[in-house]
This record gives sequence, C-alpha cells and structure tokens, in this order.
Amino acid sequence: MTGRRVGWFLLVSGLASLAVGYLLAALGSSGTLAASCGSYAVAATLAGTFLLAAPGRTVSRGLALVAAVVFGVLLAGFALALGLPVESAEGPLLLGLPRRAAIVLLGVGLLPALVLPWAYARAAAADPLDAAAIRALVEECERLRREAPSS
Amino acid sequence: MSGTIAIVGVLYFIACAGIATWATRRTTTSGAFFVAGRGVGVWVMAIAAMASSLSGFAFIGGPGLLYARGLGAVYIILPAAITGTLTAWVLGRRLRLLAEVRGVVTIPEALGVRYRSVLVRRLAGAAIVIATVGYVATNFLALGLVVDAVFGTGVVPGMVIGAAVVIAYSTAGGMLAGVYTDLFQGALMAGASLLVFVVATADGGGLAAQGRSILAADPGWFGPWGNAPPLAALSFFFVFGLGTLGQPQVLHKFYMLRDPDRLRWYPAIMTSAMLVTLLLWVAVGIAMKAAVASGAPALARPDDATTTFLLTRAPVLLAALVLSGVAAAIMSTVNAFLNLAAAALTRDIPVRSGHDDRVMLRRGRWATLAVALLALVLALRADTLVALLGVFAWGLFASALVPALAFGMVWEGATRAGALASMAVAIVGTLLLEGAVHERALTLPAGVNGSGVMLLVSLLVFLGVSWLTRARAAGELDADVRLVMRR
Repeated sequence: MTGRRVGWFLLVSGLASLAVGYLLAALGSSGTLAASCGSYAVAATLAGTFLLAAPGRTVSRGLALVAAVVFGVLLAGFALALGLPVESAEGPLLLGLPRRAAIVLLGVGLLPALVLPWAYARAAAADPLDAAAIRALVEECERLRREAPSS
Repeated sequence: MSGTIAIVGVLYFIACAGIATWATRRTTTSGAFFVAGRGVGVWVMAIAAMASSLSGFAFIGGPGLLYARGLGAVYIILPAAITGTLTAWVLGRRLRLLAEVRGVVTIPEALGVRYRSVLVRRLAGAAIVIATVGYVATNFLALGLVVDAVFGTGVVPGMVIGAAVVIAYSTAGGMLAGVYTDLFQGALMAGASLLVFVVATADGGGLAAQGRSILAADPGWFGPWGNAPPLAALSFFFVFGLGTLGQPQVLHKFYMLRDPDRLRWYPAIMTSAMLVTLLLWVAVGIAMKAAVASGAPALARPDDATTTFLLTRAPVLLAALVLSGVAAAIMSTVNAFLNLAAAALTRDIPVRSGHDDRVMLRRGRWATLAVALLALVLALRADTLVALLGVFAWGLFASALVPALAFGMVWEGATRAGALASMAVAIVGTLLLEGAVHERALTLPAGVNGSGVMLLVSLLVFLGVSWLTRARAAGELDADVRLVMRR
C-alpha cells in the first residue's frame, strides 16, 4: 500500500470510527467503547491528513515519520489515559502532576511540538522555494494556461 | 480599579495607536490593505497568526473552563502542538504558491480558483462574512468587560471605546496595521502568559502541592478527561485539531509572507509562541482549583478564575499586563476577522479583481467599517443571538472550509459538487444544530459536541459527493492549479 493510500485508509476509517463513537454515545453505551472509537478517530484522521498532504504522489520518509509520530503519540497517550489506574492523593507524581495528567499534558500536548516543526523545516529545506524556483513555477504555470483549451 | 492597571492599560492603547498610525501611512494600496503588501517576515507572520487565532477566551474562558470541568478542558488547546505543522504542510506552501501563480488574495478566491467556480467562491465568502459578524460581536462584548475592568467605564461605554480603537486602525490601516499591532499584541500575550505561569506554578507550595490538594478534594478533576465523558474531550481534540485547517484568520497570513522560502520556520515559531501563550490557561486553571480545594472561597463564576487569581495571588503589575494581554488577544482577533470579511465583501461575493486600486482600497475600508458597525450593533443588543453567533462562528469555519479547502487542495479527485454540497450542509446544518442546542430544543448526548458533528458530516458529504461525481474532477481542475497542488 502506498503512503497516500495509507493516508486515505486512516482518514476514512478515522471518520467512520468517530461516527460510531457518536452513535454509541447517542445510544447510551458505556463510555469506554465510545472513547476508544474517539481515540482512534483523532489519531487516524490527523495522521491520515498529514500523509495526504504529501506533494506529488509519493510520501517522503520525513512525512511518513511525522504521520507515524502523530498516530503513535496520540493513540498511545489516549490508550494510557484510558487504561492506567486512577491515582490517589498519596501516589507518585510525574513532574508535579498525577501520572495520567502528565501523560496528557506533556506527552500528547508537548511531545509532538518537539518533533513536527523541525521535521517540516527539514523537508522544506530539501525542496526550497527560492526566487529561481518560484520564477520557474510561475513560467510553467503560464505555459500550461496558454496551452489549455479555453473553457 | 487600580492606578497601576489603568496606567498600563493607557500605555497599551497608546502603543497600539502608535503602531497603527505608522502602518496607516504606508497603506496606500489595496494590496497593503488586504495582504500587508506581501511584505511580512516569517516571525511577524507567525506571531500575528498566533495572536489572531487566540481570542480573549484563551485568557478568561479557558482557565475558567479548566477550573469548572477539569483536565478535559485542555483538549481544546492540546492540538496546538500539531496544528502549526499540519497547517503548513497541508496548506501553507500551496496557498502561498497559488498567490504567486494566480495573484490570489483571499481564501474564497483560492477556493474559486481550485474548483474553477464563482459559486464556490461566493459561498465561502458568505460563510466568512456570516461567521465574522458573530465572532466580532462576541469579542466586542468581551472587550467591553476588559475595558470596564481596567478603567471602570461600565461595560457598554467600555465596549464602544474598545471597538472604536480597533475599528479605527482596522479601517485606516487594514492588514498592514493589523499585522504589526498583532506582533506587539502577540508578544505581550506570550510574555504575560509566561510570567503568570511562573507565579501560578509556585502558588500554594508549588505544582506538586497543588496536584495533591486537587486529588484529595476532587480526584476526577485531575483524571485524564476531567469530569466530563472521555468522548467530550476527544471531540474537542478533533474539532480544534482538524478544524484549524479551516480558520481563515490564520490561513490568510500565508499570503502576506515576503519570502516563501522562509515558510519552513513557520511551524517552529507558531507552535512555540502558541504553547507559551497557552501556559496561562493551564497554570491558572490548576492554581485556582488547588486554591479552592485548599480552603479559598469558591468562585462565583468559573470565568472569574483568571481575574481572581491575578487580583488576589499575583503582583498588581502582572495583573495589569495580563489585562492588557486580554485586550490584545481580543483586538488582534477582531482586526483579522474584520479584514477577512471586508475582503469577502469587496472581492469575493461580488467577484472583482483588476479594478482601480484606489477604488478597491476605498471599498475595503467602507466594508471594514460596515461589518464592524453591524457587529457592534449586535453586541450592544446583548441578547442571546450574540452568544449563539459566537458559538456558531468557529464551528462554521471548520465545517464549511476544512473539507473543500484543506482536502480539496491535497486531493485532485475533489469536485465542485462536493465542495458546494459540503459548504451548503455546513452553513445550514451548523446554524440549525447550534441554534437548536442553544435554544435547548435539542440535547446532544454526553460527549458529543455540535461542531464535531458538523465537521464530521461535512467531511463525509464532501468525500461522498466528490466520489459520486468523480468523472468531472479532472475537467474542473486547471493544469496550473494541479501543478501547484503537487508542490
């Protein structure tokens, strides 16, 4: 399966999963199943959207890594939040926070910020948009418009 | 009202007026008015995008929501670690290159070019105008509260004074004034938030002591989903994650960048600035919950969390800076939206380009004034309609623009019919659903939010209709636009 196909699979399965989650909530189902659907939906739709953003038909290694980080961090973070036992006031804290709160705030809310922007900067540097590249693109687009049949 | 708070407030308004005057003198073309002359550096652009995407809610409503509902409230802001990069990767380069290739100035114009459709452009423009009026009206109301808190003017006079300032520089200086006041306002917001974070996490014996106090009094609050069902928190993440791809006040900034190659640094700057500015949300919410759990008087309203913290547990100068920061957050958002609506009214709904530049500039200023006055009249009425429109706005941007714009720009199989159907469903569906929920004619099940439902529905409609009409896709996409989409 190509990267874009994986992207489509993640997007569509994520949207379907969210629809199922909402339906389960509407039917009064227990929270865990609906939450599992919602967790997968969030991770899959965002990772899938990253993959679909690939320029051209192939997904670069950097973009695939970004999608994998988003999918993995979100799904693992939500799964731990759902699965770990409830803390007590006397239990151990992680950086001053209850363990599950720390996973949410620092894992889901911070960890991607340490990876994604730099991956983007690196990918963009590999395909620069300097003046010459833009001029070439504009000229190519003008040529395409001249050659296009008038509609 | 404290003298220090009032003095800092006056200095803040003087600084805004100074920047606006400087920028207004340079606003001599419609290009300067609508896209800051495409002459903005990446630092200015990214911080302006941050400032315009955070309204006063980030400083007042957000901490209040966290105080009231627990950790589930942070799922509104958790996607900030991802959305800057997501926006750049999906739309940043494509929108900027479309501006180079086709001279595109507005988001509806980009949609019109993408689908070769005036109707798509008009519908997107209409969605932006409708949502803007509501969003600006709610922000004017919030501005009235802040000006009253700083100067003791009363809410309505405060609203008129605050609105007059932001209307003046938005009308005269357009986006050029807006983007440089946004830079100042964004820096103020980030700086104030960072200082509050330091003070708040040291409050009550430090973060660990705060955590233990909360766990002892209300263990559910510090659970990973707070006191709401997990699906509610996850719905927030979905809407504020994917929905960011439809926020025109941020996307519009891509057109302003002077050197497109510098776009590579946008996610790093935007994400860092956003995370620093959102520290206040988390720190004040936790500190006030811990304070109340430890015996401080309970808050009369959750929205009092920030002001109570500042007035009772922080130095007065910090309180002054944060209140100015709240005004900054509101004004930067209002300015960005007024400019977007003016562009939609003058260029997209009556499709125009290539007109005399002075005429376009004059029309842009009149349109800004008209939208602002309409929003002010709505805000002065202060009835439930304003609150409804405010709720409606964010959800409408997400459901109307994300499918057609974000997925339309990365999927060559998207069709005009898919875009029109998803936008029409989004506008009508969001108004009906949010209206019914607001008027209590409909109660959504626990964990389900209206914006999440409408974003999901509009995406499914877009994908489904585009797939059904896929035979037309190739014919509705110009070759040069296809080339841009593949960059």
